[in-house]
Amino acid sequence: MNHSQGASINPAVNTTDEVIVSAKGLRVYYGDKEALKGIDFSITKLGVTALIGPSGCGKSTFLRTLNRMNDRIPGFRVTGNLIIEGENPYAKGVDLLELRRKVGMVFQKPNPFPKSIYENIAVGPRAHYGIRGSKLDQVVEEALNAAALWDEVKDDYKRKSGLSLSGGQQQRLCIARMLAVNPDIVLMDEPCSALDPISTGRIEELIVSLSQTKTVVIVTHNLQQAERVSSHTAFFMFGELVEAAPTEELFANPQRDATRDYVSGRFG
Amino acid sequence: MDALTSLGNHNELLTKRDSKRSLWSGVGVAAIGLVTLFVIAIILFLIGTIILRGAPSVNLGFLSQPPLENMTAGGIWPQIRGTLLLIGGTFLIALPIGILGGIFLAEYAGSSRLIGLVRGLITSLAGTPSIIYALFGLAVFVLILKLNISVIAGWLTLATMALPVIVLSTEQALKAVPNSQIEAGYALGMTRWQVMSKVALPQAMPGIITGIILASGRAAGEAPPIIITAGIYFRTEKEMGFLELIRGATESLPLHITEGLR
Ligand SMILES: Nc1ncnc2c1ncn2[C@@H]1O[C@H](COP(=O)(O)OP(=O)(O)O)[C@@H](O)[C@H]1O
Ligand SMILES: [Mg+2]
Repeated sequence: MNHSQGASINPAVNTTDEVIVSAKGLRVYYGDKEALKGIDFSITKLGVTALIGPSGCGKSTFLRTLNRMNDRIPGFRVTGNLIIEGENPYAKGVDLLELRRKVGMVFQKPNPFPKSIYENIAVGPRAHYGIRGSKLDQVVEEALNAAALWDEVKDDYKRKSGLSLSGGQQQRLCIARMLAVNPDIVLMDEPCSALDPISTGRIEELIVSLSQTKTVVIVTHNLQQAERVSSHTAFFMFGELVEAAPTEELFANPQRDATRDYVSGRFG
Repeated sequence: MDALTSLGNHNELLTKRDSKRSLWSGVGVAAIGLVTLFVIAIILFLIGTIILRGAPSVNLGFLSQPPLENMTAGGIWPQIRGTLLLIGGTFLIALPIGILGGIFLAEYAGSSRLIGLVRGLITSLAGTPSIIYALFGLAVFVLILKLNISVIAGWLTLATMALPVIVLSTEQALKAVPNSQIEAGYALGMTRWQVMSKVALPQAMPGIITGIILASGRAAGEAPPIIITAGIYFRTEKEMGFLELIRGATESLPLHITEGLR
């Protein structure tokens, strides 16, 4: 099956109207540079929301603002309103570890730890839930299953290093590692951009199946990918949210000129 | 079309330039090869001399017995024991402090001017000649703290000397851990300390161990601080308890060799 040819997997199955992430007038600065210029955007529970737009428009910034991954960048500041599952993640006294347990993240380049496949997945549940022994084994196995990696590694996942896997398998390992702490929201920043078309297809299937039970937000450079996997799409440009709509609508009938130019491939 | 044709006419020039290039690259490779051979020859000569001239004298008795007949015969066991004792204690003190210091500088200290100054001072301490540490140890540990010339004073002095090297190599090794690994840890909801201890430290270990080896070479091999703060040519007591052992001065290899050369 070659997913890069544009066959739609299964979009828009399982969305709800319940808002899980809501941004109002969200501004982000890196020092003097304003990277997000007042974003008003709501993400509904379950399903896949795709963020598209030219490089440097603030997609990653928006994503990383949700789980506070930008906190470590010197000069990072955020203003405006952000509510995730009813709470402001930037409020005083927020439990950062709890936030990151609820909001998991997968990165552009697969980044497994240089440990066994088992250990890669076990660190999260150990740290968060303090589980050990056979209960932990079970969680690891479930996570590998959920990430569609179990069949390929079940024989030697306790010995084999995560780094010895192929790129696509490594990315699925990273997804399994994230799933093992059981997040409600899954952030993915161009998770397939380092992968070949077949691995990409596998991950796309995985994204769609995850979106039955979790809210997935994915940044992608690949417009076909957005069409294939997402139920909603948001188009960013120059740090602003230009247009957000159900994916089919946004691609078939964009309301803004900039969106039309971008989705018809005239720039980007 | 014209441009392409005229490019084709430059073939001759290109060939000339390429042959010049390959000549120079040949010279370069030959030079590197020669230098490499020279270095290997020196190393082989050193190792060869040591083995050929030393091997006949080294046997179990030499390693396990004390010197005899006014140090001209017998073995070097007390010196080996003293050196091991000195290094062991030194690292018991210097390793935890040094590694924690490196973690602090790499992850917690930030980049204020004060920290910049501290980092600069540590760097210059790492390059400070051992005789300075020897005098520092003599003044502070031996005289002011009244530890006398003793194993304890030697530990403290050598630990002071090993510390900057361990701190800096730990810091550098931690900073060399790819950011993607650090982010993976934070994204899983690990605490800062968990990211440090479970993700960064294990990956930085090879670099940290290199630093420890460098530091131990310095601590065990630098004669001045050992001679001045801990050293004695030889001890008369035959059997001692541990406390007695560390409160007094000790034999050591650097001192033994230095004295032997007189
Ligand atoms: N760590 C950073 N420090 C300073 N500026 C940054 C940093 N990360 C991103 N930026 C800037 O913020 C803007 C948005 O970047 P980013 O969110 O990475 O864009 P995208 O993911 O859409 O390509 C860009 O102009 C980029 O240069
Ligand atoms: Mg990006």
